[in-house]
Amino acid sequence: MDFTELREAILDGSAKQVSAIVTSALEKGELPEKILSEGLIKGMDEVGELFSNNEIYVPEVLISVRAMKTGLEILKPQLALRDIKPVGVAVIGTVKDDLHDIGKNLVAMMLEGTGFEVIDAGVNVSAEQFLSLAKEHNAKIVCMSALLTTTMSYMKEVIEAFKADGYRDKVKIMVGGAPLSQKFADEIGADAYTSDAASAAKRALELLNE
Amino acid sequence: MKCMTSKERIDAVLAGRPVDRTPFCLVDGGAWIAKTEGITYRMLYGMEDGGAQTIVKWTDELETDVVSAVSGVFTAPLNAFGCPIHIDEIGQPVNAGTALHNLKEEIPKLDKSTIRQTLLANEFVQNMLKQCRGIKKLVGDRKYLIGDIAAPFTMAAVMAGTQDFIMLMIDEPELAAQLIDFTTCVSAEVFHLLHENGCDIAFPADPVASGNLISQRMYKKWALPALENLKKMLPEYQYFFAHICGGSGERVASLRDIGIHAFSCDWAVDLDTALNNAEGKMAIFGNMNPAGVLLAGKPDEVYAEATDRIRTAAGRPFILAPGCDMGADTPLENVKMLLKACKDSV
Repeated sequence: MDFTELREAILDGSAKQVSAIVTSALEKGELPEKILSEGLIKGMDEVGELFSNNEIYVPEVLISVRAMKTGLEILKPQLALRDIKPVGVAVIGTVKDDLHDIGKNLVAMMLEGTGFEVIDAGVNVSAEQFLSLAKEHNAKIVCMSALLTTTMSYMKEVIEAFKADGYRDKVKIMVGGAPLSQKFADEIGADAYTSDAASAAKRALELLNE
Repeated sequence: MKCMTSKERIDAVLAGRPVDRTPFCLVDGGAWIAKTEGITYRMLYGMEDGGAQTIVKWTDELETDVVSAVSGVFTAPLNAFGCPIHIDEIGQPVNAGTALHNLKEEIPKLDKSTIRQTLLANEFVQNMLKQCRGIKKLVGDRKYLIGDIAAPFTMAAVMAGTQDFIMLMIDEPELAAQLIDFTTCVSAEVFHLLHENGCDIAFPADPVASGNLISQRMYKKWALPALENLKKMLPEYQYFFAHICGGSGERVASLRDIGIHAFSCDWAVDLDTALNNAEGKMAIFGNMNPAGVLLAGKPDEVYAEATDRIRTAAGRPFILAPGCDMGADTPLENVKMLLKACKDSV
C-alpha cells in the first residue's frame, strides 16, 4: 500500500481523513506497524522538516499532531496485540521554577510522532523527579526545557544529580529552550542541544543508537 | 552637541533627530535588580514602597535613559481574572495556570464592564500601582517611566493556555476573537491605571506573537489588529512601544505602519534589516542577546558587541538595550559595559 495519502492528511492536519485512511488500511489487512512507520511517522517527519525550515509554524504543527494522534489511537490496540514496542522511552519536563510548557509539549509530541513512549513530567520539575522517572521507566533519553534565563542554570544541577547517583551514563540528556545555545549545553555537560522540536526528535533517535 | 538629559535624548531619538550619545535602557530588569541587590524577587515586591527605591537606585547607577515602572510582572494583572501566580525566589512572577478551563462556556461570559474594579480589587495590581507611584515620586521629570504589560494577544494566550488558544483560533475563530476583544480591554485598563499612577510610556510585550510561534499571516490576522486597537484606546500616552520575543524581524514593517514609536527586538533579529525596515519612522531598541555574552561573556566582549550594534545603527533611530529581559545572574560589570559603549559612541 502507498501511504502518500495518509502522509498528506497529516500535513493537512485532517484528523477525519487520517482516521478514515488508517481504519481502511487495517481493514485491508495492512500491518499496524507499517501504517505507523510508513504513514504516521513519515508524515510527522515531513511536518518536522517544514517546521525546521520555517515553512510552517506552531499552529500547523499542532493540528498535524492532533491528526497523527487520532491515527495512533486507532493503531494502539493493534500494536499492543502484536507486541510492537516503542523505539525508546523519553522523560521530558520543564525545569524547576519554570512553568512554560509549549516548547516542551511540542518536543513531546514530535518524540511521540517519531515512535517514542514519552513520560511527560510537566513543568517545574526537580532533579529528583527527573532522576526517579528515568529510573522508573528505564528511559534512555531525558529532555529538559527552560524558557527563562533565570531557570536554565538549573539544568546543570539536574545533570549533577544524575552523576551523583551514578546514573549519568545510563541516559542521554538533551536540553532546549529559547535562551539556550550549543555552548551552554556543552558547558553544563548535556549530550545534545537542539533549537527546535523537530530536530530534537531526530537527535533523540540518533542518540538511542550512539 | 550639548549634553542631553535622558528625556531629551529619548525625545530626540524617537523624533529621528541627532542625539548626544546612543540612549540606553533595560527591558524590564526587575529579576536582575533583585538578584544584584542581594534579595529575592518576592522580597523586592514585598517592600513597603513596592521596591521603588531599589529599582531607581539601580537604574540611576546604570544611568539608563528610561525606568521600568512595573518590571517583570507583565502578565501578573491576569491574577485578578483567575490566573494563579507563582513567584520564584529569583525570577519574576509568572502565571502558573490558566484562568479559563472551559473556553466555550466561559469566554461568552467574560464581562468587560467590571474590568477596572476587578483589577483594583487585586492585591498584586495594587502593589504594581504602588511601585509605579513610588518610582514617579523618586524620578520626577528626570526620566520617562515605562510600563511593560502583556499585549492583548499574549494575555489571551495566558488566560486560555497557549496551546488551547492556538487551537481556538483554528477551530473556533469567533470565540478567539471574543477573548482577544476582552483582553484588549484588560490590557488597556491596566495601562490606564499605570498612567494615572505616573507611567509615561506604554510598552506592551507580546511573546506569544513571536515569529518562532506563529506565521506573519496569523500575526497580521490576530495579534497586530489587537495591538493597533490597544494603541487607539490609549490616547493619553505620548509614546507607545512594543516588544516581541524571539525571531520577530518580519513584524517590523507592520509595527511601523501602525505608528509604534519604538520596537524592542530580540537578539535573533538582524539589526541592520530591522532598522532599514523601520525607515526612520520607528526607533529600534535592542538587541543584545541576554543569554549570550551579556550573561556569560567578559566585560570587553560585551563592550565589543554593544559597540558593534551602535556602529550598525549608524545614526539611525536606535536605543541600546538587551533584546529581552536580562538574566538575574548577569554580572553588573557586563551591564555597565552597555552604558560605556553608549557614552563612547559620541
